[in-house]
Amino acid sequence: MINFLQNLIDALSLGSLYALVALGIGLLFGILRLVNFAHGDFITIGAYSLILPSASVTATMVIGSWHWEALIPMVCVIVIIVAMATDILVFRPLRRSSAPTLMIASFAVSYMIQNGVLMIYGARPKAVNLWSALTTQINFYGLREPVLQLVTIATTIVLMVGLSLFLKRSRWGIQMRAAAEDFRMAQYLGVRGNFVIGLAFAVSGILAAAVSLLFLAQTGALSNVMGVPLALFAFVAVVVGGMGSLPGAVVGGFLVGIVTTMLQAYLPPDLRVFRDAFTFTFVIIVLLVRPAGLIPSRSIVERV
Amino acid sequence: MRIRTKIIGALAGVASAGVLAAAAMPAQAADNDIVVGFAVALSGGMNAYDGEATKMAQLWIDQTNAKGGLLGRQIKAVYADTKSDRVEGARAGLKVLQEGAQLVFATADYDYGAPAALQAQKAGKISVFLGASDPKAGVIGVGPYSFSAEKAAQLEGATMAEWGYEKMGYHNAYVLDDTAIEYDKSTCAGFNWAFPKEGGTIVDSDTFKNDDPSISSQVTRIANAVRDHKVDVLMLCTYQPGGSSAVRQLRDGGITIPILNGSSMDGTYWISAVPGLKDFYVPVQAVVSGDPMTSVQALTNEYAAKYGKPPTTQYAYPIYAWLQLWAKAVTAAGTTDAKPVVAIMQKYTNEPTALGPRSFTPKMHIQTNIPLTIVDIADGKQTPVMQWRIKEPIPVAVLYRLKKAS
Repeated sequence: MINFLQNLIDALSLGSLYALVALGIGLLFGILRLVNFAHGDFITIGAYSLILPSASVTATMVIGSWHWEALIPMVCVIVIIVAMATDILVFRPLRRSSAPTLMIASFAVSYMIQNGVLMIYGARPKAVNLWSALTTQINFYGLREPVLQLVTIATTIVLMVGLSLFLKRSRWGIQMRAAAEDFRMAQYLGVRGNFVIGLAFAVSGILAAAVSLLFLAQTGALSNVMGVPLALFAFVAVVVGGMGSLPGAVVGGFLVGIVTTMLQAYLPPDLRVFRDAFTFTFVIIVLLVRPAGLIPSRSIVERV
Repeated sequence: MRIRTKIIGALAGVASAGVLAAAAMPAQAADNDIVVGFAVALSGGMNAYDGEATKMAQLWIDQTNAKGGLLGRQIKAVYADTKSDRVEGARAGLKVLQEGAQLVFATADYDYGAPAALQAQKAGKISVFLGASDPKAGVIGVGPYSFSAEKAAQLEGATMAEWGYEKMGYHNAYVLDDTAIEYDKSTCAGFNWAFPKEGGTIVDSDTFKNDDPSISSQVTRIANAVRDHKVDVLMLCTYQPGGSSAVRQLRDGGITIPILNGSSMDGTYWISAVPGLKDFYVPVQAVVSGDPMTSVQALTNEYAAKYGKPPTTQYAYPIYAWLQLWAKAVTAAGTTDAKPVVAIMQKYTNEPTALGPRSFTPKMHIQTNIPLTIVDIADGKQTPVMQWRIKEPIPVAVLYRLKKAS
């Protein structure tokens, strides 16, 4: 029982990370029909922004050594700037292009960020120690609970609640939802298209920054492709949850995280190597039963 | 008429090819240098491994040229960047061969280096992987003229198993294998072969992938095994960046037992990921700071003098020892031609080099039984513990992982 609870918390913690990444990807897809594969690289940039840009083998913390009250906003600002810059430089000129064109463009952005990081920081992975206080453990009736996992889960809940309040209650949030529902109609009604899209990039930047810090505190390792596996699984989560649906992205994120962790925990040893194959089989089954995802978005269904 | 045009065309083609070849040939013949070609990753992800080994080879070339060269001829290096891409690798290999390379250096990994090495083999030239740990990087995978400067990954696992059992008294091991690349599977295969042979018990094993965002389930399982089955050592087979992430998660998860790994976790550049790391051991061919052999220390100093700082990991060193053996064989053969040189190199048994004794056989062009230095990575620095040489040769079935070693 203790073991199961332990695995469940492990699963929720991983699911939280995937849910946050999936939210960032789902948000942009909802408004722009952009499948942003560069989202993982926003996470990479958030992580690398903590250290001194140099090809030296040992990483020197700059922003990373600041107090967290200054560190978190600074990393958010940096990632927001990068996210909005990709919008202005790459996606804005492609506004009238089709969804596949946008997706290919996001691949290009991803490739450029990865190689840019490689050029500036060198090929060797780097290591940093961020917030080691968070890695202490609480022992609770035999349950081994790293504080970081609790912080990850709590941060995810706070960001999810914050985002949903923002979308439901604030003027800008309502404009974003309107744009996601029917972009052209929203424009006719006075919603500024570029502004709303820029806002969506900024929000996805904040989500990416949060993930980069939580992830780095957990792993301590920096590499130019560190965000890719997160984005890949989060993309799967978005599809499982229902493209364009934010609750769907969250549910999908948690589901993928839980399925992966539970498979790793309970598959027999010989089959564990094929864990991801089982995860994706599960995804295929979900999509066969519900082709539009678990919580389909109304505005997307007509297009599928 | 048409046929005649075709024949003339063909003749013109042959002639122009001849002219091209002739134009290419005298350039090398005139300056009489021995050309060696680096078809390695000068950029991209693999540069982390190739970069320092290439610099070490350049150091050897400079030193040899300063001493009058080889066979009385100067050694000249030509370069082609594989950009850490396998397709570019073949092109890079071809390019340095066209520039007259008598010896081709390939990327420090079997999968990435093989395309260039195969080009060299096809052209009848010697190739050497800067640091591939797979025995296929040689006779079986490329051909009879191909070598690896490294040791087989299995030797790393076997060395840690023997040393751990005999000197550290570890009896119950848990094996955590990173299945993302073959190197790690081979390292663990070596451990799985040697540890039970010594009398140790492998209590359980588990896997993960280098880019897994979390290894929490594995940590939970290992923690249980430590508690319930008296596991006293963890054999970890991984590399960077997933390696430092795994060690951080293991230590944060309360796993305090000693951790062993292959050479891939050598160096101190990554340990800021794991504050207060101790009881972490790797086997290496050369220790960057404080190697027990004075010849290695001298080499480190020469490298530091030329490039401003010492190498980061052991992967810079092996090519130096290999080049010493190659030069010795070239001198003995009086030529750089592959066939006679390889024939002499294959006879080397415990031949002395700056890094210690090295051996080749007609079937094995990689080191499978050399003394390795065990390094303790703790308190932000590396400390050599002792040298260890495994007692019996690793069986072929383990070296090529022909059957599941368990």
